[in-house]
Amino acid sequence: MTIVFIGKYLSYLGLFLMSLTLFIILRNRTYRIRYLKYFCLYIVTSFLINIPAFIMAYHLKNNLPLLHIFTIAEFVLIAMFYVELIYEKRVRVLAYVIAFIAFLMLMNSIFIQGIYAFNSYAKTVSQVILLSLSIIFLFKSDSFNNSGDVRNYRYLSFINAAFLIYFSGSLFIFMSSQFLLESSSQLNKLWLINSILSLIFQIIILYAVWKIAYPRIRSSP
Amino acid sequence: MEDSLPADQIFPLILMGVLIMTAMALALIAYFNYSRRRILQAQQASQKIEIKYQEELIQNNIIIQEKERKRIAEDLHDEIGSKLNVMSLYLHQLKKTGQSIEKFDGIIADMGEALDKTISVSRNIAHELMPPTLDNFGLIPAISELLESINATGQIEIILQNRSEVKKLKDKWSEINLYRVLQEIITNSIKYGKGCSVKLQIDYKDSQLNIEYKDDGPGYDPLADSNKHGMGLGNISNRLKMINAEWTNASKLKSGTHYLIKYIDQL
Repeated sequence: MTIVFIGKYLSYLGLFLMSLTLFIILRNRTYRIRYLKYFCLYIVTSFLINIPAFIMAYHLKNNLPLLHIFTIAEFVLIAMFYVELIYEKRVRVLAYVIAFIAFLMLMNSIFIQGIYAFNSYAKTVSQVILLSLSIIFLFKSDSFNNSGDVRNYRYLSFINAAFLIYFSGSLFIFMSSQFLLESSSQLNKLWLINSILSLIFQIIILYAVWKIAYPRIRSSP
Repeated sequence: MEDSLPADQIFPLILMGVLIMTAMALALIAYFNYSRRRILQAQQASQKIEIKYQEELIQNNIIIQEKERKRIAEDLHDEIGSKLNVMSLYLHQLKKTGQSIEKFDGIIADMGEALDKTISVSRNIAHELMPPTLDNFGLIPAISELLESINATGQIEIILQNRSEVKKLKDKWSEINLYRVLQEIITNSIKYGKGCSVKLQIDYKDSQLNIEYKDDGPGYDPLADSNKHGMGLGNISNRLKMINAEWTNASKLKSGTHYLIKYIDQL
């Protein structure tokens, strides 16, 4: 009971931080900054899907269909965000690949695992790909660092670190949650860990977005 | 399902997986952060070396420039100046002979005039290139002489408050550079602050020379990009750096030019 309670309030806190991030993005039009368009769209989508998900959970209704939608949206937006960061332009072929994988995820949701079941396959595939993109960005970061966007690079690396920590930590959770469906107490522990990781993710994202939106301008001597 | 592990046995394995993956992610971030910092440090170090090299290059240029000025001034004075004087003497002797050829009188008079002008111009050029007062009597008399000649033009009024105990500094090279810096600053005041008045204060106490220069011209913003990269200020800065003098540029836009120079007089 305590674990459920803590997990629930950590999720609320995460949602609060996400709404703060969203507020900063909209207020300062952060989405206008180069490379941040898809990331900002991801935050907006997350917020729009999380709100009904929380309401449904509060009324004890199955909100797993929303998780299916979120998984596809998350994959498409974050993958596009990384493709633009890594290639510094839109790559048409990769956009088709992303769309194809998203289509496969949709098929999994409709025909294989079903929208009322947990979409562990799609989630695992999505997280492995996003994790790989995040690591590729780390390798690519040196050349990015040398380009003109040095100031924003530091905070982009924070966003990348947030994704890297969250996806690597939660990969095992989503991958193996299928095995724990029968034991609600173990599953609750798993969701608590996920809530902690999500909270860390939201804190780092909020910090990065804050720094991008409100840069400290140093005057030269 | 009979073969699969029970949930309470699976959970520690998942937890371990989560922890290992998170730790690996953190280690990866830390490693890249560390290596990027090292690259940045290396880049900064090479930039510093490049800046130092550029400074040395500019300082060498200044040294060469000063040597050339001195050589040209000496050549002008010793070679051309003396020969012009000899020519002037011959011309006077020619006049003294009394054998006047009327049609050449006018030409000889014009030649004498042109010769006198040339002697005066060459002397001025030699003085400007390397003031003999600076060479023979030191910085303070050279500055006084410079100010007198500038005040005489009426373009600007410079008031000198000299509280210096000495006339000559220990190091001649420092004297030349301080003199050139003042020349540059005054030229700027004449150029940008037409008709303004200048207060120049010189103090020398316990081997420390303090120069304060203040004009009531339009002033400027030293932090503005156009001023930061200007040749004049860069030249002043390099010359003062070369002789280990400290300088403060307290100039402000619409509040006049204001410089403070501190120099420790030692060999």
